[in-house]
Amino acid sequence: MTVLLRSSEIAKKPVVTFAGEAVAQVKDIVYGTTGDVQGFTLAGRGLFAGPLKTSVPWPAVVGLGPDAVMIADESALVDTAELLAGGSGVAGGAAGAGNVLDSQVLTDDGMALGRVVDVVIEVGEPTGTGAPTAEVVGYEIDPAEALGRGKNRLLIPLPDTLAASGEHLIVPAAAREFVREDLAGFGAAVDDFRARLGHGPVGGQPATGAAPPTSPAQVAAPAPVAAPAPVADPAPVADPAPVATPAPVAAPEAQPAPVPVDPAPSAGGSSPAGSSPASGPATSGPVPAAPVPVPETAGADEPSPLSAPDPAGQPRSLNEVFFPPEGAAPAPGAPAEPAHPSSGRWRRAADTPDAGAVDPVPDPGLPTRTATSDGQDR
Amino acid sequence: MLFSEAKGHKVVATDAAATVGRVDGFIVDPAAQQIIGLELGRTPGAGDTLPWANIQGFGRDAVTVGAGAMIVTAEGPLAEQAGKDHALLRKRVLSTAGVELGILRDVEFDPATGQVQQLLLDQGTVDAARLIGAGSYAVVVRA
Repeated sequence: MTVLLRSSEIAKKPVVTFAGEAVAQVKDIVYGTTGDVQGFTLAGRGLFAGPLKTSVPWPAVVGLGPDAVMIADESALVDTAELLAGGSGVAGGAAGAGNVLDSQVLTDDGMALGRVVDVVIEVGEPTGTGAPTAEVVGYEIDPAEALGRGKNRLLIPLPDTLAASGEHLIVPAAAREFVREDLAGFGAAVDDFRARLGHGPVGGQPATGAAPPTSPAQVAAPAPVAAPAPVADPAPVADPAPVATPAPVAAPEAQPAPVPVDPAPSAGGSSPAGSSPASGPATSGPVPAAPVPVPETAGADEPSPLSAPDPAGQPRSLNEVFFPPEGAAPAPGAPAEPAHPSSGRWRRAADTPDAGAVDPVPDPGLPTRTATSDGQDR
Repeated sequence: MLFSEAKGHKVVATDAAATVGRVDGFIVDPAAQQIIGLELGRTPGAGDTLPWANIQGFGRDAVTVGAGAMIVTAEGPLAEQAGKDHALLRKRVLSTAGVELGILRDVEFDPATGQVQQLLLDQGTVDAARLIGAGSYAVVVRA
């Protein structure tokens, strides 16, 4: 069983030996280059106790729970300098290669999601006789206004690897879809997010998340925010990222947007995104995003009980698009086709020769647009 | 028998049929889950520790010893585990996973052998076989 903990919950936790003695308390968390927890720097216990010169390396940690960090005995402590030499960042404000707190989180398409206020760590079961696993799986952020999610803190999942400096963290644009407001269900969101990145789009692209099979609606939202900045001013930490927006170009209803985007500047990678795995496919020109949902549409040839409309006349399936049957208030331009066999009133878009005109990029996780009998999109 | 039941028992020397002390506490070796001695009060001499091996009988009403001279001053392992820092009762119980299970309210032991059997917490019990340490901050049990 794994447990998700905020790093702020770990700070000040007592470090307890098997003999039942609290030898110190956690001061800071030291992260490795891949987001793994390298160990903890320590402070003495007590109101006026200062920092200690010793630290706990992660392999010495026997258990990390909501109430204490458990170690076998004090001999497990090492010199702090030794620990920091192997780490890459510190959460909490001490020295080190960089402090992830207060860094700005940018998507690889150039949208600022917010600033890091906390780090979410997933603690797994101990492996054999060794220490339990601990990995940074997400950040808690103060969201940027452009995210449109209010002012409450949000949790965003992280990919397995990411580019980070003391100033910015670059995450795949797909992270936006997996934002959560609390830890409940966040573990599943992390898994889903990484599965998305790991499997990648159907077109055989490398796993990036930069050209995710997002629906046009989802991509259209950030576009106005992300596009202008890099195009107008490539100098700052610029995000070549908007280049990622060509992905939905294949979708007929995608925003008109970044047509003038030149792959060249993005190939230059003037921002950390250049080192992100996302930059590769993002610069590879328009991405055939359409293949992603195709199997669903193609697999919908056979009538399904779910595809029959409910008594109220509304289609039940979220993955099929229905048009009114012939003679029943046809939508303008809709070709005359036989009614759906299961309803008498509806026919599936997949059954029509004009099925390709239907939004070809439905997100599997979101409801698609449906057409009602009066021809209105819903 | 529970610690709470045994505490306050008279310690009687069978050679003189005299009370030579009163049970004040228990000295436990956590790793062995074994009571290794009793801390006594109201002893006539300087010694205040009764090693478990010197106990003749641990009954419902009294603890018997062969003679008052068997009450000694704690040394070695007894001294290491004696004192409030190593007492079990009223300490928080932590698992090796770093989870606090509750406060230890009582301990059940076998009066014949001194083996600790159960740890009684605020809510529920913990098998004493999981006990691995007891210090000033917490009693530690295996997760």
